[in-house]
Amino acid sequence: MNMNNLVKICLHQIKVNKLKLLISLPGFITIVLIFILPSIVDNQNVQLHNYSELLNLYKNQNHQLDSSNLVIIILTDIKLLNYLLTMTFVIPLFLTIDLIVKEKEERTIENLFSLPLTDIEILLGKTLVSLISTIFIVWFLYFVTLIITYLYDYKFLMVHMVEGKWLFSVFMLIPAISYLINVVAITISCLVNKYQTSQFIAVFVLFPFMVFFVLVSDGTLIFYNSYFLLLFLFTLFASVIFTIISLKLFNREKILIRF
Amino acid sequence: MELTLSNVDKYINQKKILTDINFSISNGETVGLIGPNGAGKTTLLRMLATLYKPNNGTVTYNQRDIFVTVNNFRSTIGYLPEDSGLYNKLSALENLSFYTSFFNNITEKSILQMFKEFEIDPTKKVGTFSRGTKQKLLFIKSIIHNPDILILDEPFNVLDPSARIKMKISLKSFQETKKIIIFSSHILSDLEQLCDRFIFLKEGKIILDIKKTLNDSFESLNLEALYSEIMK
Repeated sequence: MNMNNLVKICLHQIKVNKLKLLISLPGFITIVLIFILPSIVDNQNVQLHNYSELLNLYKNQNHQLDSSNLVIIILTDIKLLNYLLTMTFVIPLFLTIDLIVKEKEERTIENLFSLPLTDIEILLGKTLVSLISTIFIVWFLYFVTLIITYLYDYKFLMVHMVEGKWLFSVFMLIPAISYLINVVAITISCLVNKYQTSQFIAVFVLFPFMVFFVLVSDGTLIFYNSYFLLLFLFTLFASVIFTIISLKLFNREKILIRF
Repeated sequence: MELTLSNVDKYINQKKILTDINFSISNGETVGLIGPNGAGKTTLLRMLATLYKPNNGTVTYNQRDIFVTVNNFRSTIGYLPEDSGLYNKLSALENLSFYTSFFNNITEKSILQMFKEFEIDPTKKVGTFSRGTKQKLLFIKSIIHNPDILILDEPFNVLDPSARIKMKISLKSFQETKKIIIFSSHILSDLEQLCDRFIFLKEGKIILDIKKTLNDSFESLNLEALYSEIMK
């Protein structure tokens, strides 16, 4: 694999998708910072207020209060982490799923395939932009949120964000998931012929994960710390499998015949 | 240097497109592929551009199977596909800079020189170009890196007369470098002017392989008349 070729394809993708990147990347950041983060923090303040009232009520009614019997799960940081994880699914699907199908629709694929490039250089080169963008956005949001929580004294959130679970998720799990979703997205892109079909499949792929994250955010499903490690190991395993599948399915001849 | 196809068969979706194709092209030869629609010309050219693999038989260049060292071979060819596109949101220069970045020794100066020759505005977005201008751009893309083998699928399609003349002049000067040129066209007069050898395809089979210089009667035979005669 020639790294030079990877970089060339990656830079070319940035040029071709300039408008999409210029609108979507700041868009994702704005949505989290303006809508999601304040809603989580405000909601948490109300919840904490309610919890303290509840505790007082409980204490007044029962003087034998044993705190070990009282379990309160505070979901604030999990909610935020889930939004970041959700973005790890949304951004690659949004940016990668149409990369090959667009080349088919615009009839540029035959020229691309006749260039002295290996399959892996084309596939990785094309997904690199989305992979880097996703990681950049998530890390950017992580650090901005940390600064905000520090400046506005939301210590209940900040203490969680520097814990091992968060650091592991942000710096290990999210890049791994992002790679996996990119590989899945580019594989779908190879298989379909129309942009709309690729978008439709993207929604299908995304839907179960969205439901899962909503249930975790809601507290319906409890996501224990050990699950993060399991998810990471599963992601690594799935990444290897999907990379192999993707390379097998990336058959230039079949792609050309099909479209 | 010789490009050789030996006993090549090609199936697409279980349908036989090419049957027992055998020929060799030596350096300096310009070969015209002639045949009606569906004769297998594009399939054959795509195979030479390594986009299709033969189901049977071999394609070798300089006695080496082109599909074994495929990327080395790809860097020696220039390919102009039929009815292909360019990146519409990019300028002409950006398009060419991308394609040529994978080949050695191509400077922006040489690209701009070609643009000047073919009267193409390098800064204009390709999306605003006519089909003819896009075809000129694709032709420049296929020839600019001075390939050893030039593969052109219907290069004169959609070109206006002046662009056709320019492309022919460019092809003539490329012929002087004694490289291999193989191209298909429905415009027989263009083939007649440029090629020194003609391969007639019908239903995936070679029905005539004729060299201009070796056939005495050829000079007196009009290509159109020959086509009508053998495609009966």
